[in-house]
Amino acid sequence: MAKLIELKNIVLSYEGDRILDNVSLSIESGQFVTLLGPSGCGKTTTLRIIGGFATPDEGDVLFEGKRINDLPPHKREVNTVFQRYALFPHLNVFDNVAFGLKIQKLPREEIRQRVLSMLEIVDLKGFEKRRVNRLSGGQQQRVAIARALVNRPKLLLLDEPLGALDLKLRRDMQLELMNIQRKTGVTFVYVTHDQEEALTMSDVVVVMKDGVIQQQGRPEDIYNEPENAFVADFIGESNIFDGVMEADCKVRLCGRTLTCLDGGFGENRPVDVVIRPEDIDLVPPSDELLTGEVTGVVFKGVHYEMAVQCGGLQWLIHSTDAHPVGEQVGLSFGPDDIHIMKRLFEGSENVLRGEVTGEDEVTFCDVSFERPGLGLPEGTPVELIIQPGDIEVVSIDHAHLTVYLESLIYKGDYNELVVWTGGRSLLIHSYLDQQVATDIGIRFDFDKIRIAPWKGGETV
Amino acid sequence: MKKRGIPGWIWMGAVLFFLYAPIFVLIAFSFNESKSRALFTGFTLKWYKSLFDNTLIMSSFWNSLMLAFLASAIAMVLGTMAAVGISKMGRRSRNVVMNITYLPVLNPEIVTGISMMLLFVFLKNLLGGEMGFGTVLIAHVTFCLPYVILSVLPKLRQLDPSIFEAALDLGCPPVPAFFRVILPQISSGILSGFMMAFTFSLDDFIITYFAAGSGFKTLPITIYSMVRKKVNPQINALSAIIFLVVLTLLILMNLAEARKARRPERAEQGVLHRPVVQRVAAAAGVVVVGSVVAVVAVKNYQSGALTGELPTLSVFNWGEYISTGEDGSLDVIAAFEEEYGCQVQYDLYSTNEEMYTKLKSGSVQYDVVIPSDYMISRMISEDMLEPLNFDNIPNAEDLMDRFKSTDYDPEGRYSVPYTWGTVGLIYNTTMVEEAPDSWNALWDSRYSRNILMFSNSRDAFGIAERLLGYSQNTTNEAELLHCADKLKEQKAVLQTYVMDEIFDKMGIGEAALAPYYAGDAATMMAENPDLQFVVPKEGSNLFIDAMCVVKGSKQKSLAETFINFMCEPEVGLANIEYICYSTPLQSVYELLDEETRENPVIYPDEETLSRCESFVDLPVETNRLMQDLWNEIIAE
Repeated sequence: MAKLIELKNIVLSYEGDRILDNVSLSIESGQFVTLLGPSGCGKTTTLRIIGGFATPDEGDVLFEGKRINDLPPHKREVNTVFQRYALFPHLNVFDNVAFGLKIQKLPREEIRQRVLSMLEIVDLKGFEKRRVNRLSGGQQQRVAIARALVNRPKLLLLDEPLGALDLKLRRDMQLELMNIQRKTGVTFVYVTHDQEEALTMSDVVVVMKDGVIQQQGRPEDIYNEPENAFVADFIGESNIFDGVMEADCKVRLCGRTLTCLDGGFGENRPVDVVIRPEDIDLVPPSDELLTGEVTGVVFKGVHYEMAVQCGGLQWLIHSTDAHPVGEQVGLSFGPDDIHIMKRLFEGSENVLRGEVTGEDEVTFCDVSFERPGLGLPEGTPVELIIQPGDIEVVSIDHAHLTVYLESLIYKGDYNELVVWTGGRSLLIHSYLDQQVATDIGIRFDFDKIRIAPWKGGETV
Repeated sequence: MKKRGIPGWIWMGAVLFFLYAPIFVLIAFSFNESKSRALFTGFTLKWYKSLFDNTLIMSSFWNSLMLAFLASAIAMVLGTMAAVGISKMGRRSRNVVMNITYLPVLNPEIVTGISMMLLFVFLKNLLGGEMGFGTVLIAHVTFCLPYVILSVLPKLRQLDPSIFEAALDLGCPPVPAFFRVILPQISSGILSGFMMAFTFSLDDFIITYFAAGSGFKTLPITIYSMVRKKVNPQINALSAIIFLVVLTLLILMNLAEARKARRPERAEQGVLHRPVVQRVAAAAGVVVVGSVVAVVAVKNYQSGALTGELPTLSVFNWGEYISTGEDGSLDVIAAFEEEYGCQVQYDLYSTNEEMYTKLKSGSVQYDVVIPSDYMISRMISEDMLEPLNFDNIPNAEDLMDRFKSTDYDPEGRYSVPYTWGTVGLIYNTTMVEEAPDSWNALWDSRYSRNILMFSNSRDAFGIAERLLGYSQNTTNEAELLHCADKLKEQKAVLQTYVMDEIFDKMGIGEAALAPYYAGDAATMMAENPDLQFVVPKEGSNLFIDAMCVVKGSKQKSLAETFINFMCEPEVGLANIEYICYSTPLQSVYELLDEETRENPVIYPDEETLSRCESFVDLPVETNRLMQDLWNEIIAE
């Protein structure tokens, strides 16, 4: 199939923040492509670049092989369905849909024909004269889709179009959108933060985080073979634990060495171990298996969601059979159910460079603290080792430092936070939940910071 | 709903009363037979009739409408563009621009007005040109702009930002997209901004006052200069009409609003007819605005055509100080224009100081002015007046001998007297025990709390000086200090210091004694037979207003012709019958009816006049001392 649109090494910054960092993507004609990621990941910006509402700082946007970086939106053969529909409130349904055709100055009769048949496709026949603000959310949504599709674009961009609808309506609209896409053959690029929606509708899913594409592929591949803990966490539910790769196909978890299919990580490397909750069977306990105790059961309609305490970690298990709270169970899964991933943060502790800035005073990242009896002369560089558990997440008012939360992953016992400040990442273990892609405040336990002489070189 | 209770109703009633009582009083007095502001003597519609005959009021009314319409239309376009720009700014620059926008709204108008005037005068000196309609328009657009911006911005903020992008996305280029999808959404804000700007522009006095040079008058400016001595009841009539028009508009708008509120029910059925009222209102609006523009355009075309061919004479006079052609009288200005084939640009002032300041500021240029005695002597000493060529003013021969040379213009080279009068005591015969013949009566404790006194320093000191036997033009410090003590002494018996209110207070018997001008006293006596007037034995001020030509006049001989014309017997008669002051012209005097000629209030005998002298300009330090002493007296 022919490439309809290609993004090549797109970089876009806004007020010093990198919104998109070297994004490359190619979309083939007739595909249903979904950009998936948490808010602030750059998916909407990517869409706006394709639509012509944003211009990349670097990189090329190609449409059917032609560079269109500087082509204004009204000259692109692309139409958009906006997040809050953006219908024209002063026009009725017919005039909203006819807007683009009237701009093209088509004959009246043709406009009428096309608008009416499009309204039929979106199931709004007979609504022509209604004012758009008297329509329900789902009807407005369909007007917006009709208004975009009536222009017969080669590419339709949809920016979280179902976000404002309730669950039931959203499910119906998902199916309807897929039908429309199949009927019209138009290429859809769809933005959502709802992973289920993405997996349901798409031919290709592109997972993004912090302006970087994490993984792209068929929904099944993304789900079954997530490339890192972020993707695993974001797509579906997962058990993600800290493990150590002892050797190829040997991973240490919960005090046991388990056999897996992955390799190439080197020896004794810390890794993330991912096991999908539905891949674990609960069986009677035995010596060969990890065993634990059921601590919670929730009925989810199709399956039961159970929490099992095992090896100091909380495991999430999906099963159609319920096990009562308090029951001792064995956890059964095969080597192919264990997915090994590179950790998001290299190492298990934070090593920072600091400097002695006064008598018994040390400064790092614009934070100063006193260490009585340090006895080092002013200006001496030192190495500070901070354990992830010795950093506390607090409100920004009480913080030593304000940092940007890049990711938060539940590791069975605590949340693993990776934050970004002043050009370096920090690893934090916390029991609190925080909104990703926001600024949070942190405090250090100064007494627990280990100070060592600087060994040279730059450590992040 | 909460119950209001009796105190609540009383409170609301009081609020409504204070809000509306003044307006109803005004409307009532617009039907008053007499010019009095205190007594209702009978019902009449004559003020309404004469209002429409008054070309000065009507032309400034059209000026105001045209100015308000143009200024608010320009402000509407510029303001909308500015608002769109501001809404697209980043937060910080938007805050800066918004504060800059607010500043003119918060800035006192007087500051805006004066700074505008300075700028225009500066530019005028630099680039040439005259202040007038153009400068007023610029000033009005300037102060109207923030109101448009402030009413459009919230509409833009409510707007879904993706609407504009949606239009672009559907193939519409940016500019048509603005007109097709943004404009319809913010039109109500634009319209209310326009309306606000329109009312502010129509209303404005202070800024217009400073920004208008000679030759362009709006209604507020004209009204202000007309109310020098007493409110002309035509103004009451005009105010009543304006109030009723505004009230009608308000009711219409509310009706339309109420219709609109019911509209969704109709939309529910898929019916989208615009309410009839709204259509009619829109059509009516278009017709009104269109006819205003058409009328103004025609008028301007005519006057423009005239300007091209005819010389223009500019005259700066007191309000209500020339015969205007009402009730079949002579329209002096029109008659002069016709007879001499020229155009007269006629502007008004309400005090000598206002006229002086305007001429000094350089924002205006006039040919003829009519100041009072002391102001003429100041203007002569400051070289602001042209010596007159009396070859062009043969009618000056007709002046009574007394007025051929005066205290302020001893050789009679610069001025030709227009009107004169004395200052005397007006008293109510039913409230005094015997007829007073001395200024002493104003210190008489028997009339304690029934005595009124001039509230301006020069007139007040003049009375004290007379009483103590000094010259009313004295510069002697000891004499002035003595007068100040005398005036302080008077406070114990005074009711209040007043100026124009003497007319009302004496008219309805609220005070027994007051000093006042003879011409006005005669008018009051005609309405209240209990009143009498006397020029006290110590003598008094003889005030003279005289016609002069301003230094630098480009139409000096035409100006002299105008002065001569004003001295024609029938012209002088028309003016003096309109103004009710005394004429300095012998032949006009002889044309007057016998009753007037024999009226000792207006034309006192030689003996009385010999006791009077005129004010001359005092040295700066004397003026300052007098003002300081006066402030001290008032403050105590």
